[in-house]
Amino acid sequence: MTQRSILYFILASMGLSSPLFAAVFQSSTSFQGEQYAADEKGTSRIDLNFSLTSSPDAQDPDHTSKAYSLPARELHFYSFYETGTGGDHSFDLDRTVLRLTVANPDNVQGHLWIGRTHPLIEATQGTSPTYLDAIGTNWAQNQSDALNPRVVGWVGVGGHIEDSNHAFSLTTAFSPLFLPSFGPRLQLSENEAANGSRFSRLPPQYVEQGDATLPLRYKINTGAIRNIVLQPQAFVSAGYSNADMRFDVLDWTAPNPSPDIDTDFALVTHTSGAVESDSADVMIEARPKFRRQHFTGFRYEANGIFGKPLIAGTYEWFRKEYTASVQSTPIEYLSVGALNRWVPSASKPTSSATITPSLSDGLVWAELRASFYHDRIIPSFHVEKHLATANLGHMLRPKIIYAASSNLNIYAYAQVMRGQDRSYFGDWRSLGSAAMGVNWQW
Amino acid sequence: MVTFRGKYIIFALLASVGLTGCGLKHWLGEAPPPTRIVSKDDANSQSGPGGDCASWDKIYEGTEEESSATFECYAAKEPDVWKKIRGARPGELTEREISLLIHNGIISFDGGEAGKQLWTRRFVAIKHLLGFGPTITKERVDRWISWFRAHRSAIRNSYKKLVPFENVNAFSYGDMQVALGTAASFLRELEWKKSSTELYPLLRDAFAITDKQTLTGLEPGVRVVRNFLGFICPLQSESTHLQTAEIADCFDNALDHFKPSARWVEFMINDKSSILDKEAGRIKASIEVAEPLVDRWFSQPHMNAIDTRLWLEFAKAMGAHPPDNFIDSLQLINKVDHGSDKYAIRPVVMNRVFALITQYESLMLDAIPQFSRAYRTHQCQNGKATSWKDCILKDFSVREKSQTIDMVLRVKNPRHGIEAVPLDGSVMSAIAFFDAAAEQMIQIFDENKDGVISVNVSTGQDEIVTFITSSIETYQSVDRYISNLGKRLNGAALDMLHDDQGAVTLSPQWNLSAFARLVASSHDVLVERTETQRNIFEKVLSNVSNTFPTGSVILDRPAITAILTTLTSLPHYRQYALEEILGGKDAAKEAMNGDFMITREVYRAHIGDMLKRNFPRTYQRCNEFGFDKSCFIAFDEIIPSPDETRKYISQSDLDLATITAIGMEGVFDNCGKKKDGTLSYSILDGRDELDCGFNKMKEVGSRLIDSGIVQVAPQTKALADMILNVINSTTVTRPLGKVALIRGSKSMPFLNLPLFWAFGKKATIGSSYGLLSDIIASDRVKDAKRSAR
Repeated sequence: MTQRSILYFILASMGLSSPLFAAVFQSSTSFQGEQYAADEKGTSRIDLNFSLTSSPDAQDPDHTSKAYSLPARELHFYSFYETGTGGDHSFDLDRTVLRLTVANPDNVQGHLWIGRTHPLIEATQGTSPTYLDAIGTNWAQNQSDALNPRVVGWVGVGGHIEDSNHAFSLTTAFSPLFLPSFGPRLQLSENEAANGSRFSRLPPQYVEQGDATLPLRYKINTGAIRNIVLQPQAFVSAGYSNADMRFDVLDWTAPNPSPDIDTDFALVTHTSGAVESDSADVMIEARPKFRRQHFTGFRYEANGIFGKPLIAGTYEWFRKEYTASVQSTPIEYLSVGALNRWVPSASKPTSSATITPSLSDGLVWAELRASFYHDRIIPSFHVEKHLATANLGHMLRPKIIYAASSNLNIYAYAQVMRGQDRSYFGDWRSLGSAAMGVNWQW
Repeated sequence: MVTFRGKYIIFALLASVGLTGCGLKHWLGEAPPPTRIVSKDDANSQSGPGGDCASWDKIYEGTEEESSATFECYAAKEPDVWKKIRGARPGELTEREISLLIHNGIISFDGGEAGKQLWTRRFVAIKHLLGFGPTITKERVDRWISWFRAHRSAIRNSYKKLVPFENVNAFSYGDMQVALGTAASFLRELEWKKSSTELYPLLRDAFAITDKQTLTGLEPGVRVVRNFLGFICPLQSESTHLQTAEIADCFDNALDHFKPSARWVEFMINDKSSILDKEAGRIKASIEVAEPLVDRWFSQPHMNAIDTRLWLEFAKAMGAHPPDNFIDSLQLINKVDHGSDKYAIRPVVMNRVFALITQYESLMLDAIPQFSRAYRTHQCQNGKATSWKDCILKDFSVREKSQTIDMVLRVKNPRHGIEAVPLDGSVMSAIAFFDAAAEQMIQIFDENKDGVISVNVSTGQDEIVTFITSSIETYQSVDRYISNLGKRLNGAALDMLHDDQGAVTLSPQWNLSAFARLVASSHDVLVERTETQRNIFEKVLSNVSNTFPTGSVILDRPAITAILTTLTSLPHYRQYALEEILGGKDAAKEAMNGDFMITREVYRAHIGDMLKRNFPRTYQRCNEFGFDKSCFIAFDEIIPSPDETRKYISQSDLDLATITAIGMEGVFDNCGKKKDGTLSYSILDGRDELDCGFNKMKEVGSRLIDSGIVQVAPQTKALADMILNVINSTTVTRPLGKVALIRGSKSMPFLNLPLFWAFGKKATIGSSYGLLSDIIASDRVKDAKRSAR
């Protein structure tokens, strides 16, 4: 099932032909020129995003309460397209949801939803997990834009209730459809070398056998797609909040969005034609396995104390993996955070060639962001660094935005990755780039 | 809203953006990481050669459970292998595909491009030999796996029985049935029929034979194998072809045919330590059962004769240097089987071979219990004996319980060559074989049926001498060929081929035939006959003495046995003599190869050491008499020199010294009652010991001189004739000879006669060598005496 067909399915299921989404429409379009250090020629990228948001909010039609901030209907569409052979593209209808109030506002409040949304957004009234926290890093993501992955929601139904004081809440969600993480474009072939967009992590290309180094060819055997997609996912959380903090306990089960790959191999000889053209390669048959996971986690957000810390942690029961993250904003223009996953040694792969580096392997990050000249100039500096010995590397992204008018932004940024071989950023260290572009909102 | 410090930070950020925008390509873009390659270590850690299976050798070395588990572990991987290696057609692998795998280095071998070529050919050849045809198919591989599964246990059991360090239990006929039955089944599974021309390239490539000489001999070798198989098996295929199925049938039929004589077969192939008298009786009975079986087996139709020309061609091709007269010497086979000749030896000859084996084994069965008992009760001379085979008998009185041991002690004097030819089980076994062979020779050549044969020792043309020498030479050639073939097939370096390596020598002055004649001439001092044997022998002698030609000798069975024993012992004596002369084992072994020359000075300096080592009694008696005027001169003079200046001697000629010493001790042991190296006037068998000794020396000496084996100057010959014949001619003059023998001098025997009568002095080995020295080099004796004074 392609992304497009999924989009049609979701749109149809939500009855988009009705005037439900006619309320607020926001859209932005960016066009930028990029120069990758390794490329001879520059490339261009176009981003097209739009959102439809209902107004007034579904849960509070009269705007008498500020406790509920979620609109009754939302549709967000994200897309980009890069030119060049190493370019990538993505068309993603992410949060697309219809919310219905189901409780008396004077007593217990709540709503049901149907569509695609992240259950945590529904539980926390709009706080979306990011790829840098312990929950987001274990959730399905759209990683087509490799340096800006986006945590995506589930397609399904759910419900949320709170007491009248908005102190205690209970959220549950169910999705009959499983969508794994989408990564950068990667093409695996039985006849040709693997290739993909520049940020795709290519599997091993050669294998040493005897005195020969043989090319590897890949055949993906996913089995029936429906067996992958039709996998239920369930989520339940309980939260407590007051004016200074919010604490949630979460439990969810879903297939692993980043599959484990079972492989089998065969040495294939090619002896048709002239003897001189005889050759051999090794065919890898890869069978992605989206093994079920079961997470229990927590999230603690304290807005009322210094640094506004946000702490999250998860435990995966089957693999016995812990993930924890912390982030803070100690001063207005600085955010810092850390993310790490503890993997039992028995689960680690033995071959260095087949290790896929993980973002959550000893990551610290920081972001400087300021604005001045009446918010017309907005510079920022984002850095991510892995501290784990086997994953040493970092990424720097300085960026500056000039708001020429209320609708037009002009921006420039650079992205630099450095790191050792086989590290998360080291794999991309030749992909440093500089870009400049314009963004139009209407 | 932004602090002052924050603005600096912002400025820095802007500057970095600006710099990157200016295209600091070097900083932005480092070299990409290397392409991901799954290394050998990674690959092996995931799927090693055997993966989780135990080592291959567990299949035949492990316990039954380990063996089964290991085999099944590997067998279970076979279907996966066909998935892992995919050719153009599923379940098949063509020669082109195998070649690709090797040439691309996917299956790697040492040796670079040449190694790849070699292994490609090797794979293809092995494939053909295993009956795969042009393509390896899964179906055929599965068949082989099924075959191996069915025979795994049998192979393991046979391995356990056959490998020496594992051989704790005797190999029974049942075990043999299992092993040969498995081999037969294997041959049937091969199911091919190939000519020697077809097999040549397959064997060459499968065993990676590159040695030129081995390659030359390979095709004749295949023909020889076919010829031999046809000699022992009824084969209906063409004589140029080997057909595995009919060879398998032969194995199966032979196992069934000889089953009634299982105990005899077991006796032949097993360690004989456990054989005691009771068991020996059962084995003898089994041998009797075997006799008609052998007769019937080798009388079957469709068996072919040994084509001796094929074998000669093969031996020549292999560089095994067969004797020039190899084929001609085999003409004697006609005496064994009138249907056979020197070119074709029919299978019925095996009946005679079996008779020889029967005779030999009867002798063995008579002696082994005594050796076994001595070994078990720690009664061996050598305390470190590891079996009856290397147990040297301490107590010779067991000869009363064993006729074989008695016979051995009569043909091999235990008083000399104690180290060179110790009287252990192996030597006994060899002498027993010679005795059995002697019996067969008598039967073959004894036309008068009087139990003796005559040999002409004067011309070297005697057929029996030829037979003996040819047999020894042929044995050496075949033995060397087998050894060299094994080395070549194992890729080991080939030893230099020497005609005289470890064998009776072929020196410039002497050849094997001459030695045979020399030893044959001395036969009557080599063997100590029983009274019965002596009576028979002397009776025959008296009957033929009138017609017996000069230079001929009469040989009975003990004489032939003694001759063969002495001939084959000579290299061992020589090696020990060389150890003394050259000062070490390694030097001696090295010197045994080729025409190693020793300066006469060095030899002279070690005559005493040599005698002390091999002939201690002679050494002692010579010292008593005066070494320098007896042994020293005698053993110096009898060794010829290849050079006119007599500066050097050939190591191979040391055998002459050995024969002389053996003969001299033989005279004293034959004629002396006390066997202490002395002869006195005491009466033995109607003659006094001195008479006997002088007579024997005279007979042997005359025979050697008359036949020209020992060449002496005319003057010396005349002198020798006078001493040996004239003195011996009358009862009046004979005492003069005795006096000369006692005094060790030919001078003034008349003056010394009273001493002889009055004091009854004894002749010793030392005085005999003194007399010999005085006859052949009287000047040196005089000088020695003067020096002594």
